[in-house]
Amino acid sequence: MTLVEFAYSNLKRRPARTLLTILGIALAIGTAVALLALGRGIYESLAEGFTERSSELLVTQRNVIDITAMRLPESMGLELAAVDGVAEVSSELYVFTSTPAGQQVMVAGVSDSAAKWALVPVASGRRPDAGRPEIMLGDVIAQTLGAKVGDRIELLDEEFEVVGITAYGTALNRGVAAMPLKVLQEASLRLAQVSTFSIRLDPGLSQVRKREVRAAIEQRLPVVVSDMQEIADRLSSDRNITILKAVSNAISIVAVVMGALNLLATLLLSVQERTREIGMLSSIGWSDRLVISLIMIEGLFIGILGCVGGVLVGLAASSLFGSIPAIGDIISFTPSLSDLVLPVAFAIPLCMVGAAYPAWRAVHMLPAEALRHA
Amino acid sequence: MTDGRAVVWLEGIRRSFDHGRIRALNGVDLVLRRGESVALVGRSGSGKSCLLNVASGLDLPDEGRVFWDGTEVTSRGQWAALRRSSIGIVFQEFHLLPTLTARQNVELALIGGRDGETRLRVEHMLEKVGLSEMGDRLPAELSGGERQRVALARALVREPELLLADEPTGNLDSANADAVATLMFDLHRKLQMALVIVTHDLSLAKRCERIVTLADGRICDDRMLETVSA
Ligand SMILES: Nc1ncnc2c1ncn2[C@@H]1O[C@H](COP(=O)(O)OP(=O)(O)OP(=O)(O)O)[C@@H](O)[C@H]1O
Ligand SMILES: [Mg+2]
Repeated sequence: MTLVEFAYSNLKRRPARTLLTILGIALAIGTAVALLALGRGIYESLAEGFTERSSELLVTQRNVIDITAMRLPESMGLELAAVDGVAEVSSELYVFTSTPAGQQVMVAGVSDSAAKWALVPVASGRRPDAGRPEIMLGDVIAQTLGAKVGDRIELLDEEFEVVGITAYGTALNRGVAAMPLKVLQEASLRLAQVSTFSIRLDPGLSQVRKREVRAAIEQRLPVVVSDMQEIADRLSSDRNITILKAVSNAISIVAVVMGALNLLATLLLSVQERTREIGMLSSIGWSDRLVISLIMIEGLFIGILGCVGGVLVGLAASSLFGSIPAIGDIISFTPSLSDLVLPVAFAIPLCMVGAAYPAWRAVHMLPAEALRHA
Repeated sequence: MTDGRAVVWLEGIRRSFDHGRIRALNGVDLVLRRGESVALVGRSGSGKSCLLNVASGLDLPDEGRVFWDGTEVTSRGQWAALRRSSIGIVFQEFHLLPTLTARQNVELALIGGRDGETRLRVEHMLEKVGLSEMGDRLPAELSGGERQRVALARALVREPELLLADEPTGNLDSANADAVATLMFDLHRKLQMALVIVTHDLSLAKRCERIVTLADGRICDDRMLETVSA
């Protein structure tokens, strides 16, 4: 029998307690995994959403993070078009509003160019006609509002006819409504104003040349030119998202620490119960080091099994959350390797710390005292 | 039989408990010689167990010094190493782990060592205590006498130079007590190790070469017996 086998047999002596402790750690790790996946899911959903709508580059107002708070004059489009290397410019307006019933809706005003609307995929119905109070809904927002093609909905004190449902794939876009730019500008009292411009550069430009064009625009106008990835990066540094991430990180840490405390309590109890036994081990020549190793190995066993369980719980929870429409429709929920590795890498040393105190407790008495222990 | 050289040498040992209110050992000097058999007797509370604990480092004295083979032993680590290599201890309670087989209980004493032939040594020892056939049994499936023999095998598997037995037959009926005692004396001679038995049983004490009597934490009598009955 080796030390490891002996440690294992000690854990098997109290199977229920061992399993409960493993379960406690597994839940803690699972929570951390799910929360980390959530934090990253928010960011990735944004990134995917922007790439899905892709034009090559997005022009946004400098020093403003909230896209609905950006105000650029529509006339800036002409200046952009005049920059050497820019092939095509279109503009969008974003308004965050609500129905009379209080349901919040993000509305995108899309340039009245046929090419721009052609990029909006149609699931049912049709695209709005230019200049008419017509709106297309993402399928998720349509479901939230309980609206279907042919219905009328009230937004911004005006009535709009739902003429189509979009067929976007990402959570971000499935929750957005779209209408002709001019119509939205009038309804939201933001005439001649837009939130962002999308630009396409001349085909076949070198990377160096592309950078030069972007620099030229940023020098001439109070804007930032970003590709879609950069946009998602910036949006995810939005204060609300940062707070959400901080909260989920904090809860992850608390969960993992609770898992380690759980281990500490269990080992402390088991060391306490085995005081006489540990005295016996001393009497047959076990050194303090060997006793400490034994308890640490028992802790490591529980910690590792807890982590394996936790990874499984985390994966299960993520897929479960992802399949709940209210959650899965808003954010993607696939844990990456780092979401799995990070809590585990944090938990194993913490479990060792949790095992260290009981291990020390096991050898702090003189063996004679331990053997007399009731 | 002893060649007269000291294995353990206790010098001026004092040990008190309860902030000095209980004086368990009150100035004990004692030399245990290689290969001898010693009975440690005395009334309950006279300090016999305490003396064995100090002689094996399970307890540390408040005052006094302990020498092993002429070298003073001071640290817990030194004592653990000595118990591992040279001191076997058995108690009145057997202290066997209930979920391990007899064989595994004996193997416990070899865990963490660099000894080869673990299996062989364990089988060998089980055979010596007459339990070859019962190595796979759990303690619950053994009689009291058999359990104490497992504890004895565990204490002796490293072939120590000194066996300390604190009322080893105290929990056994007379037939089992006699069998265990005979086995201990047998192994004491075969393995040429010193044997110290704490006992209240006078007939057991008389099987030793030397009887040391404790009273109130002091040695009040220490005599060699003329004849040794086997
Ligand atoms: N850890 C302890 N705390 C308090 N008192 C102790 C402790 N260990 C021993 N004593 C006391 O020291 C004295 C000697 O104890 P010891 O166990 O050595 O007696 P003993 O001779 O072995 O008695 P017995 O024959 O009943 O086993 C007793 O009065 C006992 O109560
Ligand atoms: Mg005693």
